[in-house]
Amino acid sequence: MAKNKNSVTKPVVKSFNCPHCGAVLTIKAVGLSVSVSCKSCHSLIDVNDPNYKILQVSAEKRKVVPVIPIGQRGVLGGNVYECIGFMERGELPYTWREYLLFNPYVGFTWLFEYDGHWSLVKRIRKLPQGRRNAQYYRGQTYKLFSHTAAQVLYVEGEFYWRVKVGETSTIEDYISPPFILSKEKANSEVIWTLGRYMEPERITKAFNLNPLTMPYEIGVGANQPSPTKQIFKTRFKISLIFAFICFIVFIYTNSRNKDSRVFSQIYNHSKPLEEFNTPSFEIAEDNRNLLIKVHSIVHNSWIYLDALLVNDESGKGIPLPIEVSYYVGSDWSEGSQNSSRMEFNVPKGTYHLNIKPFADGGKSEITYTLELINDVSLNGTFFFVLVLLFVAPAFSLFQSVYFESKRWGNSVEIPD
Amino acid sequence: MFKTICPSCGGELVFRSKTTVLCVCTFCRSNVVRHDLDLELLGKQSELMPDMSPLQLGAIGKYKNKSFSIVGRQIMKWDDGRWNEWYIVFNDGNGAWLSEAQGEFAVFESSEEINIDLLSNVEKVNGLEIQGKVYGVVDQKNAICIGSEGELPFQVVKGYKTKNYDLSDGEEGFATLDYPEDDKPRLYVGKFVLLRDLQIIGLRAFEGWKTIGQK
Repeated sequence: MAKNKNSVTKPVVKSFNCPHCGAVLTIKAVGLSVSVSCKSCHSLIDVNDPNYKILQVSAEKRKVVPVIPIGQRGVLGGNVYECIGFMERGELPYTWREYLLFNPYVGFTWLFEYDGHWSLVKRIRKLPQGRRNAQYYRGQTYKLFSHTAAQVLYVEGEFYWRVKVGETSTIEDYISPPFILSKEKANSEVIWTLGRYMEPERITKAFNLNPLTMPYEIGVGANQPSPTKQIFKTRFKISLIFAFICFIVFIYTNSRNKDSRVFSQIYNHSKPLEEFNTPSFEIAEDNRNLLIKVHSIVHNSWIYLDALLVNDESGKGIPLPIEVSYYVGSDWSEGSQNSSRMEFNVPKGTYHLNIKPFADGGKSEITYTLELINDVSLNGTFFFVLVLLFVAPAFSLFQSVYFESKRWGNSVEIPD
Repeated sequence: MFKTICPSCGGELVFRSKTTVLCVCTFCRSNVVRHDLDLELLGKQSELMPDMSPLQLGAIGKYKNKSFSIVGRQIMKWDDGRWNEWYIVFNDGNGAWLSEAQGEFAVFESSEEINIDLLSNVEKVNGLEIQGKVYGVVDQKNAICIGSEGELPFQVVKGYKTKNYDLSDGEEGFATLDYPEDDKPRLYVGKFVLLRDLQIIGLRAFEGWKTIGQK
């Protein structure tokens, strides 16, 4: 017993003549392969049958050239695989190509290619749990992407079941990029597979293919991972961190803002309007902002205050001209009865305002409230920064949504 | 272990497992059935059809931390292909089956005879409750043994016919109901496994292929 235990044997290869055309055919997965397609006449032959029964004579609906030739070996996921079978399936004009890969120690694996998008596919035994238009498998929810009928259109090489051109099955695809779960139903048998997206460059490299022969990548693959989704997530996280920092800074500075009203007065002037000085007031905070607010019940009229903030000691003036105008029609309005402007970096000290009031011709007198607030907290700045912070993530979110819309644009379902 | 000589050719014949009933002589391929110390010849087998299975007699492995060795095999065939049932024996002398089909492996540790009523019920409801779990029938086929080698726990020889039901619990659990033509039905309960998890030493080495575990 225990023959050949440590010796290396030649791989078992089975050769025979095609019962239809006589061409010499070889089987690589001996004991596993059930049917083979004759490379010269395309008849499908039952390998399991001692007389090599013909399953289908010259089964060919159209000629397709596999990108990975039968017999080519490549390394995927650390395992060497030999491409032993190829078939095209689908419903014209929507077709995809399937490459059957074999390793005697690992078994069978598939490579699927649709519109230049590749997936490495394996049969799974644990069954997903069905939800409404979704499947739950190993902690992941897969959304229904397509529900189609597929026909075998072209076959080359050998297979571990009886393959037939023209045979149809229904296929449900569920996605959670980069993964794709597929349920295939043929006759009474249901087979579940799990695929993982593969960059075309990996296939080219793994099988040492000429990149020029690779099919063009068209649009977005069903289970192609979104490049922008990750960018969006990263950008969003970064923005969130900065927003938090800004918020802390904002809370801190806000807590230090005094918001002190340094001057407030109601004025009523009759025409003719004359220049006047307000009483002196104290600006206590050094080099902080100063807000000047004017409120006047103007109606289809305006007032204009040519105000100058004068330092009592130095006599230096800072101009603070301000206008209140409000016009209204039956279905429109313009301006407001409130007006304000801000001056930054006002040194502390004793000040007064020198005001030259102006008004339009209508009324014989004007009334207004004048208010000065020192060291105002600036909420607006915070919100402005916040908006700026999220421009980048919003842009990638938009890109990501666009990518997903392209992906789901390819989603198909056959009506029930 | 029970060593004797083949009653047909006189070559050495080893019964490694106490559960072994049938042993195929390595030299002359005679079917030798053991009745305690008496041996009975049950005809000869033709050479096995070669295949690309990575397993072979004499290889050892581990399952659930128990060591086993591969002592026998029967090759089954059905309409759409063939598969291997490897008979493995653990160190404690218990036997189990390592089945190999379509490049997938499953170990069946427990096997029990069941009565016909249960079988007809399986056909009726298309399922069966095993150890508190519901197993559904996923496949059913008629199979025939096309060859065997080494030691086997039954008098299974070439031409033995059986009806076979595969059942799944929707997880990794897998069961097979085997109903031979002239025997009682048996239920085998097991699990799908990956070959590399069985840590097999003595896999068949093929030229041009690296065995798993080899760098």
